[in-house]
Amino acid sequence: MTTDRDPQLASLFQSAEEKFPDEAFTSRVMSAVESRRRRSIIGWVISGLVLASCAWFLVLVLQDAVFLLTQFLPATIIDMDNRWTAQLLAPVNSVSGLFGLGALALWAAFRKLF
Amino acid sequence: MPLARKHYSRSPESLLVGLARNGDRGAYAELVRRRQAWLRNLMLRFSGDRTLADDLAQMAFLQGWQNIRHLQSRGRFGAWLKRIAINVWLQYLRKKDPLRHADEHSGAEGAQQEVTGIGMDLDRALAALPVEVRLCIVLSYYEGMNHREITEYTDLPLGTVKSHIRRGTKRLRESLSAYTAPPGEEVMT
Repeated sequence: MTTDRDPQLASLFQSAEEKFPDEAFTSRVMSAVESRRRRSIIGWVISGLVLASCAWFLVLVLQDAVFLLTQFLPATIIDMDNRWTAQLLAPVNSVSGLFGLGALALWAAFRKLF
Repeated sequence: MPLARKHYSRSPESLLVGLARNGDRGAYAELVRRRQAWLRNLMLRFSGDRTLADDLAQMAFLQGWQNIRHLQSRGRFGAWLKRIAINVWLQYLRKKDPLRHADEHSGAEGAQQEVTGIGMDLDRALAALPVEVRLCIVLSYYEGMNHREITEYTDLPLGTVKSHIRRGTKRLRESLSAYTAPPGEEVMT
């Protein structure tokens, strides 16, 4: 691969090269590295705290939802006078039973169609 | 000199790169110490401004530290850092000057009077070149890169690189005629 480099200009570039004192610059770079590292640690800590707070909030909401579901799902659909019949039909005579039967019906329909 | 620093200063670069990849800041500091003069000179030739060159070199070293874990080959640290440096310079130009492709002398105001003699004249002459021409000229003359390497580093087409170098060389010879006089004539040094 050719370069078309002018030898006089090339030597001019070489002579123009400067000596730079290294210590001050190196410490400046390394302190910037350190401060960036510190900033990123602080960033991670803040993100962690925010995530933990969100998780805590979500857990509370989830707990309430689970509590409501446990109250709602076992509720009977049709009130029965006979205690034994009510006990026997309890798995299907409830909101959860209805959901379960609905899901089974949907699944059967899906299998039949596809 | 502290013991650790003495130890680092005797270690080969590939070992220092390996240590820095594992988060050893002392090893990276030694890499900075070894490469700083070259990188600052490169940035100085790009920008023509010593303060700006130092800032850009620092930015390149910072990016190097952040990405050193992704460096595949320990022996290619110099080439890898050069690529980072070129990207830092191009990013700086993009941020500073959205019309960078225009034939303007975007670095001229940066050619401050801190550098003396040949360096100052060279920086002035370089600052008068359009940025892409200057980039190709510096990579060719300061870094000794061939056309294909410049193409790889800058993403410029090969023909463009060739014409930039031809054009830049011609203009530099004109601006620096006092230093690049034909043989037999007195040359200023």
